[in-house]
Amino acid sequence: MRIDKGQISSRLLLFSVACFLQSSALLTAFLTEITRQDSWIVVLLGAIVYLPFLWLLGTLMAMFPEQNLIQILDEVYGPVLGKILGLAYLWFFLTLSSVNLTDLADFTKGTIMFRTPAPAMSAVCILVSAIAVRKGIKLVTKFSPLFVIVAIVTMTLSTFLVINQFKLENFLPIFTLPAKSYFQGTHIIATIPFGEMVVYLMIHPNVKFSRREIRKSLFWGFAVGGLTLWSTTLRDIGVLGNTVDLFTVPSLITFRLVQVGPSISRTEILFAIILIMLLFYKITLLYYVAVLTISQLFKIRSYNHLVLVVGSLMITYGLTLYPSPQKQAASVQETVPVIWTVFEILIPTLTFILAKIRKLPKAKEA
Amino acid sequence: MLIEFILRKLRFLLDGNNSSYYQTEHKDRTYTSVGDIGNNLDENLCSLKKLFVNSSDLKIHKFKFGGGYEFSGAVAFIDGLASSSTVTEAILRPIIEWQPEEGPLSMREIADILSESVLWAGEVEKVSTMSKLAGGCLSGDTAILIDGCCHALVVNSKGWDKRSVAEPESETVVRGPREGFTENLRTNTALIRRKIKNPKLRTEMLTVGRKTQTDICLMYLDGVADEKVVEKVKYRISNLKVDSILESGYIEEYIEDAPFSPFATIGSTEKPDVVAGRLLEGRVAIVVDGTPFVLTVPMLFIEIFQTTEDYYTRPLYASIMRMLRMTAYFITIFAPAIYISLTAFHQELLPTTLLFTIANAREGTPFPVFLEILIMIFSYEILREAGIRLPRAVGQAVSIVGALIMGEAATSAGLVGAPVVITVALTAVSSFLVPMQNESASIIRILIMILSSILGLYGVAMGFLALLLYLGSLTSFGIDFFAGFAWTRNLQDSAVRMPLWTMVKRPANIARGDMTRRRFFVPPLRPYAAEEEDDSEGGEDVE
Repeated sequence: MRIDKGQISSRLLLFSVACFLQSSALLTAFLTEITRQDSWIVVLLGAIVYLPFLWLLGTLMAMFPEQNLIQILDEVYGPVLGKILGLAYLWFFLTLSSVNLTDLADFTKGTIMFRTPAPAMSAVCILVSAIAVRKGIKLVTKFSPLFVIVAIVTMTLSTFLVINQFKLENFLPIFTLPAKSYFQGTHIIATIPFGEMVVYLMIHPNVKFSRREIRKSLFWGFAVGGLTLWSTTLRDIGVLGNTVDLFTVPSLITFRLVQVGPSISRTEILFAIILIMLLFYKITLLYYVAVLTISQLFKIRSYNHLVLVVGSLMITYGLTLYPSPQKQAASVQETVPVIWTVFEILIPTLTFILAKIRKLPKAKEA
Repeated sequence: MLIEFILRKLRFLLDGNNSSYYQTEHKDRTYTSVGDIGNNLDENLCSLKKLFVNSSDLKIHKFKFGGGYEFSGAVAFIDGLASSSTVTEAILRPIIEWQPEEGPLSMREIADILSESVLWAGEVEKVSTMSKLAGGCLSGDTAILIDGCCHALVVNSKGWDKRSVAEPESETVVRGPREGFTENLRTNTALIRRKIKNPKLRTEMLTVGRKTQTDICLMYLDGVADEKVVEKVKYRISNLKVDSILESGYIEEYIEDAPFSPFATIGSTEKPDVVAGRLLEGRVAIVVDGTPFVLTVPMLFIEIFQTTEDYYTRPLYASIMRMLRMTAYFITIFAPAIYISLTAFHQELLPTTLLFTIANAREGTPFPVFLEILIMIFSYEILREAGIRLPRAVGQAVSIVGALIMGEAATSAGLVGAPVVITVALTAVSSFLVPMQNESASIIRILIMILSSILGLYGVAMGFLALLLYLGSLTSFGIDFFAGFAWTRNLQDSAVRMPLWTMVKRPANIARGDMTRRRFFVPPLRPYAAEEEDDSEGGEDVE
């Protein structure tokens, strides 16, 4: 039973993945607070560490081309354990979308709308996302190429505009932090932006692809998104240097520093709008995945009337998640990567091994 | 349970309506029950008169013909629809002057001889029922009834007064053909066929409207247009169980994909060259009798930025103009909203001098900025509507009064600030660049203004995203309405208009089958280059 009958091309999947990663690329504060001027190394390390799991993700998709994550869990672990794991994933997806929604609202509140209550911002975002979610995966991913291109153009342009303030000394000293910091940073990078790609296990049945293509689109999407993340970090460190850990959104400060004569200045609003667009995309995708997971778990044929319910749940859940942004930052650095590891790396790996042992997809074909 | 109950009742009511609906349909067609044409001329004329009771414009003229005037007959036509010179010169005169050469003829043979060798007409149809005869008369033909013959001849004599081909007022061009469609269906189809001289240009006739019996012509290029779309259009139009079709707007409303959308998802134009261009891209044209506006489906959003002149002027300039139009469309929707959010929420974004200017202008104004802009936009819409509806001479007066009072007096009296007047004027002028989507823009503008007055630039961004998503969700006859902006294969003709020689293929999402416009991707060679070199020789020859 496939709930959403829409189909997207593998190229759209590529852009979707890239956009998904780019949206986290612009919020790198959780990393720069720990590893400061060495963050760019940590981003590279994180990407390298995540690569095998990316391959694993692609393999799982190729093994079960017709089934989404909930159905895979059902088949691999049996109906009871599969359902329990499915419920756990439902919590994971809901939390993920709520966290991102809160991020968007907090970011907007902190940068452009200082006196507006955050829930108002989340509510409007959810209402707009619901337009896309109700129409299905086709509309959700439709504008990802646009967002990716806009993001890349802005990043390149801003890099050129701050090139006069770029100092190579800002990268020094290299490798002076304690080894624990590098390990922690790599872990964060591998789980928080990259590991979240596990949500694509809910979407891949709607992608028209051949087995080879899916890994290719995943990889190229990962490459584009990862490169943006890496170059953003590089640029921010080059401009801000050691002070990079002082700011909640380093990129915003970089944009604020842009000053080309008297004409081009105060460009951070541009960055804010683009970040809002990218985060909006990520929220829409996560929102869609959360709604799809619920309807898949409870075997609901049409999820249209679920959309706004889940949306309001996301808003209220987001309100109760963290008492303050500081607590959230601390949790993102310490607790979240550990819990996320279970969902993003351990369970998929275990599923893959079990499926290989039980020779699952093959048995079904025969 | 309750809802189900109500639904069931509603469905029952709907069914009831349907059955009564069929009855009325039956009543409308009563003239079909008049039956066949009989042998007796007087009886036939009597039943024809009964059918057209109280119709003073039905003219019946009895006459006698044949060598010794031994046969009697009658012509019937609607005065004003049939051309009287055709009736007298091409129908009555040859019949009355006709001398039968052979011996005694049966009445049936007479009808055949008349239609084959006597009448001077291009189109003669032999009918045997009263309904067909009446239908022929109503569409401007002349019916010939002969005593003793149970068939009637319906001769084409359409000749009513019609407007001649003139330059359309809604779409004027600097360069390009100036002819526009008229209210006459045949003139319109002929105008299109003159552009595309190809037997594969299909023109299928349909008749819609129980009362009006309006003729509708579907035109498409066979082998280029998507058959699925053609079928869909045919299905939707032929299943229209409606009373009347007076304009193509009726058809548009009945067959479009998104009936509640502020955006038109069916294109309409008054110019034959536009229709020809769209037919060549694989679209289907719907020509409706009685209106100069021809519909084309499927429509893409990008079409509102394309004008025919883009293809007649230099590609570079055309591309810049197209981007200008897109910018103008963006401005006309978002400028008031951005102004509101900048002055009410994000003053820090404005350069200091500009901020002072705006603050100065706003100092004495009584209303908050949102209300100020809303009032100005509202009065602009009133002025625009007044300018359209009033007679042209008065319309100018309205615009002068409007410009003076709204602009000058309101500002100097301190009711509105000058920057607001500038913003609204910019919005209004920008909307004229994209006249096809004026209606949608004026609705969406207000919605986004409300969003921005609550949530500032965040609201504008969310409004923009919502607009994008909404446009992305629209379809026109199954084709993505927003295609051409997102990732598609024919980007040569979207935001920029590439040179014509780069447009090798027809648009992939519209056309099917014969996709090739040009055989190869070849830049234009300079065929006269060699001759140019010989130019001096030519000059010498002349000397």
